[in-house]
Amino acid sequence: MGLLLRDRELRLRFENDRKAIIKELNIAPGQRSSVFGLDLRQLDAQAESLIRKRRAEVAHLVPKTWFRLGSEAHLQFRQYADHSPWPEGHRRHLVDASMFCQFLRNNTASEYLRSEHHWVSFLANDRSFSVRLLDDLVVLGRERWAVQFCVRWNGVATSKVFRIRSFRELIRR
Amino acid sequence: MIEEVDAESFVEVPLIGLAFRQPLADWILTKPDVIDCLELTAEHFFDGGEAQLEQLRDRYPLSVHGLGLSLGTPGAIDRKTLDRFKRVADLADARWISEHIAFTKTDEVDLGHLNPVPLTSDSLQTLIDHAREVMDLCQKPLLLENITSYLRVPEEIPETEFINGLCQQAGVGLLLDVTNLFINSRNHDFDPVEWLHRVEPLIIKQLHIVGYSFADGVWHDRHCEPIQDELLELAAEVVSYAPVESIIVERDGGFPPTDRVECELKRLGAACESARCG
Repeated sequence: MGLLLRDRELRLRFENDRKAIIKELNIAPGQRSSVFGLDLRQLDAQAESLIRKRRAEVAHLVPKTWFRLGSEAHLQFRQYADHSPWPEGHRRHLVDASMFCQFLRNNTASEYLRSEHHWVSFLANDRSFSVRLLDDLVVLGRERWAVQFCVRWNGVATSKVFRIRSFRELIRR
Repeated sequence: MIEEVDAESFVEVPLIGLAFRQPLADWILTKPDVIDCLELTAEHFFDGGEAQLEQLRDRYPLSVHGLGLSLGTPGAIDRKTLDRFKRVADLADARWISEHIAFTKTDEVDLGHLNPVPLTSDSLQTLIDHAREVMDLCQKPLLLENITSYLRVPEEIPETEFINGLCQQAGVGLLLDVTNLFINSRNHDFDPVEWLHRVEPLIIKQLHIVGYSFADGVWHDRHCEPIQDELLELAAEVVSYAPVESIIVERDGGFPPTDRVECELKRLGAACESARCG
């Protein structure tokens, strides 16, 4: 049943030939009649609820990126979810957010934010320190260069971003 | 001087508690009077947070709630996840541990969220075996929770019979999620009170409650709304029917100011007290 919930194409094939899919999925004899009798509308609704819950977690983890995506966010996430493996383990939401950022980056989406990608990727792994050069720190509506440090100490992760000022700005100050 | 009292005159009311979430952490750590107990989500402490957990343990009776053991999946429980769950339960000195009557993963895919198990004798046996394994390892009383689902799996065994059998044969209690029961009853058109009265009252040990959401003609469990009156009435019905020991308000988002959380907990406590006292 897990595969039916994950895979939209499989559900469409299930709609056309239930017996064949039950055989293909090698469903245990004791579960076959339950799976055969599934209501497709409900199955779709449950599958959609799984995507919706993933989407809500990712939106919460990368709020600035999500905000920048605006009304495109749901569509972009749908495209990402349809073409990516499902994240696993207790850090799956962080992994999901990191993979979503990577998807945006690969598609050269202008809404992609390197700082949020770096931060969720750091949280999703066990490293104790990570540093990245950013070119998209937004200060007064303009993108600036910056360095982001992510540190994990005694189980607590923190992030600091330092803006890099240009030589001209320093002279002006 | 010791005064003799009539034990019959005492009515035990359930403990009222909250699911611990970071946005409320500072307030919770001040130990406000309205919070009797807390529920921690085990996965939130898999990667640390021991110092905070110890502070909470010193202030409240704790229960530890799991999301990812996937007790409804046939085959072995993921040992790494189970060991981490036990570690949190031990650190918390948990009074109860809990999980769901559900599966979140199969051999092929980790769906990451709760899904209904087929109500068959095979699934029942899987859940019984896994529940016993968790209790044997953790050495703490286990409660299993009913979930909400848009998918109604065809029943070989009626749901309430399945739950009664599971709790009695595995020796676990039921964590009855009042909101999930209400949402399922609306989405799948059945009477929640009739459903409740088919459940053996002695197995119901703890309740979950949070406001429901309603959108596009469907009820949802988004865990970010205040508790509605219908839910309070249903919770009171459960409290008058079963020896519920504690009730946990389980918000995941849309946190209001703490004075409003306080009001909600007081309102819930008052409803339960009047239900228990008749």
